[in-house]
Amino acid sequence: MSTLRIDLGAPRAFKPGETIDGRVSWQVDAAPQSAELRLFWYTRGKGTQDVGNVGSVPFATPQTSDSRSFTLALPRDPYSFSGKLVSIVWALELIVEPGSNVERQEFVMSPTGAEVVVGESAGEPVRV
Amino acid sequence: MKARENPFASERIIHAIRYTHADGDVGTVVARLAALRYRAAIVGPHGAGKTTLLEDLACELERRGYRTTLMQLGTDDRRLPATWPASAACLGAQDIVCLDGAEQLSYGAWLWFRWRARRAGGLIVTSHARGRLPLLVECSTSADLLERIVRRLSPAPVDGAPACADLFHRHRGNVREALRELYDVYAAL
Repeated sequence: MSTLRIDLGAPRAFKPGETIDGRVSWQVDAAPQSAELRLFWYTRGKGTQDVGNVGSVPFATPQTSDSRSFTLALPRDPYSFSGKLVSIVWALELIVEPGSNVERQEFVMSPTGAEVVVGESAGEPVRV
Repeated sequence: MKARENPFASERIIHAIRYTHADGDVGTVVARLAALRYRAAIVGPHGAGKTTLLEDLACELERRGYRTTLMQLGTDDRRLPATWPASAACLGAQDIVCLDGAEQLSYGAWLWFRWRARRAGGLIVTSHARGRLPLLVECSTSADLLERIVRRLSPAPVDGAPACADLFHRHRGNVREALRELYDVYAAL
């Protein structure tokens, strides 16, 4: 059984332009051919999903059981956002191939460190 | 309710109910496609899962080493991509052309499209009616199917949510539109 982990520390909220320092680890059954951490945002809501790939960190010569540190710079936008029709969600995804070994870790990016919320639910504490 | 928490967000629907047809899983459908020499049609009414099945098939065929070209036609845009004639000229045995909404093409346009795709290793289309290519799968819906999908996405019904049987009949069997109505119901919570 495969285990993948993305450790961002706490809290999982960042400001635009900030740098994310973290650590990934994995244990997989078969010798991996590649391992990569991807930084992206995506929309979730009623309509067609949109995705923006921002950056990635490839990990050279990955082992079956491995742990690596990473540093990724966040852009200035878009902010983490939620309305009733659409949300923008930031995430990191660790992909170890071959196989379907994927781990996703969502986080918040905004000037206040909290998701921008519009509509009736404004003011609620952010839950990621 | 925030969009990202809505159980009927499109991403959740797609991930939660990847199409499993009553006749078998995607692997079984690919085997049937091979028996039809990779030229076949997925047939069914609006919102019955044709597009989802076509996308699943394309993913499975890519996994098996084919190159897939997916094109979508709708009532708002009935034209094939401007790049299609040029890309059709480069098709080969490893290419599978997937056309979603083949019924949008006139009969003449369909014949022209099929001729252009003749060099491709495969051609899969979705359509509302039989007749354009041999039948691969006939998609259908039912109130029970909608109920199962809804319970998978939202195990506990919320106050004010319409009954699945009522939703199904009001949307005339269009499961996609029924799930969109439920999105709005949950968004208002």
